[in-house]
Amino acid sequence: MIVGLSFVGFLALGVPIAFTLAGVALIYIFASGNGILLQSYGQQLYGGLENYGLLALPLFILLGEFMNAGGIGRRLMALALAFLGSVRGGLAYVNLIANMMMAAILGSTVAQITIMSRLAVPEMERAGYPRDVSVAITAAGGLLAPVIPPSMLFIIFGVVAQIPIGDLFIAGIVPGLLIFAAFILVIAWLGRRHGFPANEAMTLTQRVRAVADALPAALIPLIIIGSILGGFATPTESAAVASLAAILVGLFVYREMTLADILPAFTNAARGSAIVLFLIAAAQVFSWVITFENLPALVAAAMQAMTESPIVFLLLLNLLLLCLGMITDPIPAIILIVPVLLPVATGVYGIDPFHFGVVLCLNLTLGLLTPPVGTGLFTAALMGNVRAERLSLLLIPFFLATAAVLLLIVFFPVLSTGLKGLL
Amino acid sequence: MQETSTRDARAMAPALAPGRIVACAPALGRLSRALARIEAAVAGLAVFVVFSLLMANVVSRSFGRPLIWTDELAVNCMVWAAFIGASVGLAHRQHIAVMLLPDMLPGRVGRAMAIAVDLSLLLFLGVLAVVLWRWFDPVGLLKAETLEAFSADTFNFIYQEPTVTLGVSKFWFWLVLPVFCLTAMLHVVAGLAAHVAERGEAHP
Amino acid sequence: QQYRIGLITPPPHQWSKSAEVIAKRLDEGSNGRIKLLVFPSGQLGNEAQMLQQLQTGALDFAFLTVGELTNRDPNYGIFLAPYLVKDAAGARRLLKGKVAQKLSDEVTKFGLKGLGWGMAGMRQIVMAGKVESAADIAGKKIRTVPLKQELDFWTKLGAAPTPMPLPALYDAFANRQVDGMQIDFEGTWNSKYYDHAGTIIESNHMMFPMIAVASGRKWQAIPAEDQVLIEKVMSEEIDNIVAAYAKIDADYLAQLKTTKVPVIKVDRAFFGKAVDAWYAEWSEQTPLLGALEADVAAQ
Ligand code: NA
Ligand code: NA
Repeated sequence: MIVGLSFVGFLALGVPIAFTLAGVALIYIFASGNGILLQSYGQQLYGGLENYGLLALPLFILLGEFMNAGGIGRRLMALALAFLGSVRGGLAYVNLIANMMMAAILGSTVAQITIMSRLAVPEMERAGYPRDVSVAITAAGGLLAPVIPPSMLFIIFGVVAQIPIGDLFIAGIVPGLLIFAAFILVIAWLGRRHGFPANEAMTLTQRVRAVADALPAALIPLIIIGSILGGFATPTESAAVASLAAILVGLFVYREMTLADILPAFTNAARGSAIVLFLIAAAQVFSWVITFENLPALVAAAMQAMTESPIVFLLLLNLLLLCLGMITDPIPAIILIVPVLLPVATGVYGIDPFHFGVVLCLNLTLGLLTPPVGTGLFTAALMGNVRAERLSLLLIPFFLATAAVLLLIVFFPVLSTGLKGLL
Repeated sequence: MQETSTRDARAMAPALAPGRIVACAPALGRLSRALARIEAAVAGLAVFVVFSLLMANVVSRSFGRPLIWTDELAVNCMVWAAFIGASVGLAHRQHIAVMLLPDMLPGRVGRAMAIAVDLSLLLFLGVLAVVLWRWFDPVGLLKAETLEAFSADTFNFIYQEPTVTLGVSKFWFWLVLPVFCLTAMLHVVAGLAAHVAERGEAHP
Repeated sequence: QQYRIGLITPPPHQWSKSAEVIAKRLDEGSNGRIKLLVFPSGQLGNEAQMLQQLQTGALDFAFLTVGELTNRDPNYGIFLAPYLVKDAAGARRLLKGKVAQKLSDEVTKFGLKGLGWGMAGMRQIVMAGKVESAADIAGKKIRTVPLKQELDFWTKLGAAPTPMPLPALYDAFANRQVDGMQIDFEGTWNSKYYDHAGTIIESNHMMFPMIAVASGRKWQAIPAEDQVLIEKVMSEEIDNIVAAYAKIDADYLAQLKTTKVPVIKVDRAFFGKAVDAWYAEWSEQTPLLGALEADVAAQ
């Protein structure tokens, strides 16, 4: 009770979420009378980050920095533009398609929104799109990053659930395409509603040049896949390999980057990832305290008592995840939920762990865009200079579209597990 | 908890007389910014080391000479980057917070809330400092004859915790926590001073 | 009275199942007075973090692999000696021997109270390519845990031991970032490592002990009557784990033999001089190894 109130109180006051979580964990320790846990607090705070899979986070953000500095993002944007001539709302679709291509390289929503806000939003504003709507489309596009492989969330899920990450990546492809399709529909509807402008048609020469120009950038996803399948790198290491490729392309192919750009990229990556990593550390310490008090097991038992049907279980799970996704970020939520509910899902209800993982990650991805705790939402608001409250209203149609895809996947497991069988 | 913060504010009021804070604010701000620049460079270096270690892993494995210690070192460098970078985040107020209420309320209340946030952060960091002090227990360590005696007396094995592959004690890495705690306190105090000074200007 | 036991294994694993049995028996044996909460899958942290919580007395019980103790005292690594015992039955006898008892008593120096030795399945080898002799392993990257004793065995064989987090192993093996692994049959079957295997080597070359421990600090505070019950139930169930592995190993091996992957059975001679070289080095580094070998000989 005190714990819940202090949690809400601190958040409402405007105390950073990470410090709220870490502080509330302390309050919980005092309130539960297990003062002895204080002696493990430091080690848990540090140890929450001692996870090999988390190395992907700073590397994906680093990769994003290099893609931006080296002009790779801009080429991908131009490539998308070359395909869509003078369609009404063309730039809005271009934004989404560029996000899709970016998602095949990046695995982190925060990294992707950071780049795309700098690239797409100013361009759309110049072309006469409302700024807040442009930011909303960019933020929604960022949701593709953790669904289309490679994916930070799937890496963390694979690590915690101990299942092959490569197969998880494959399981994300069809859901990612479905979300992409759903977002196209949303943008078409938004275009009618807000009267999106059409952009000038490009000449054939311009188009050919854009395609040729983007070819080196398109190499990067191939390098990622190739380095993993060729036996050179683990999925985590592939982010480092891709960063190196992005540096080389930026320095020697596009020549937009100089050696002087390299050091700031590392500093920016450190600062950007530190905000998220510290949040994860705090969430870990928080989840350790509530696990110690056996709360998650009680929730699992309650869910188990409610139903025998796998579908109902998954629907309940989605409800729980939606609530959880509101107040936490995906990574701490995965760490909180998976050890408790995955055994219930696979053991009691016979749910495929890959299906479970896709549903879980997709659902938690939604939470990235919901207040009060939504890293994606706040990143987009910050980068795009729009109020987070306004942005979350504009995101509602995208939110509903993703929720519809999520329900489709809940009812048709083959959408997540089918492709793995085919390959 | 808000109650605690106000009580705390009252308790601290005489010590932190507004006049003195306003006078200190610019110097504290400069110190905080200079420290943040150094921290950002160190955190960037840590990420560079992570990147290099993973590349070294890829290269050494493909030559059939895998390195044993790289993963553990890379993970610990990442944790260092995380805590040092989190301190920079405090200096630049980049940590994610829910600003719905503070933004909605009038400027005067908003500024008071900003001060309450700083005081809450200080309170947390203060408790964290005590927790870390008791964990590292430097006084107990100095008093103890041997490390073994220290552990046996205190049930605290912090100085005997090994790393798996690096051959150094783990507490060298854990030291980033007290460093984080101190630098974070400095950044928060500088921010608090700036807020109080700002408030003083608003109500002369 | 409520107690907590922490494990790194997931709920379906034998250790986790046994922990549940222990919880049930303690509940019944104490007429509901003793409740034991089971935290599988490393929910309370990895082994190092659990050990620290045992030391402060936050956590009451845990099953720890010998790895975490070996990091702190190389004497605990003597159990990793290659071909120390023939099979799970031999391991069971050895874990009741004098040296095992001595090492169990000595965990007090880590702030623990030993409650008995258990184990996981015997270590085997799964390789991506065809293997006919030890020469086919030389130069290959073999996934191991980063313990000096284990690394040294593979180095002496001429292989390149490659530590790697377990969750990364399936992908790494599928894509040949590693060419093989040291693993038990249980893991080979459950994680489907045989998918990408060219040869499964039934080597039974190493045992992998686990120790059931209580927090030394907490143990002092447990009423004597409950201590007796807990010690009895723990040691019986831990022994059941060890006994169960003879059958678990055999069952999983039988299942693996239904796959297309050839299984070859090898013995100490297969590894040539590597085993002797290992004993020469580690008898010097950890003289207790000699006493352990005497235990084996006495059986
Ligand atoms: Na992606
Ligand atoms: Na959220």
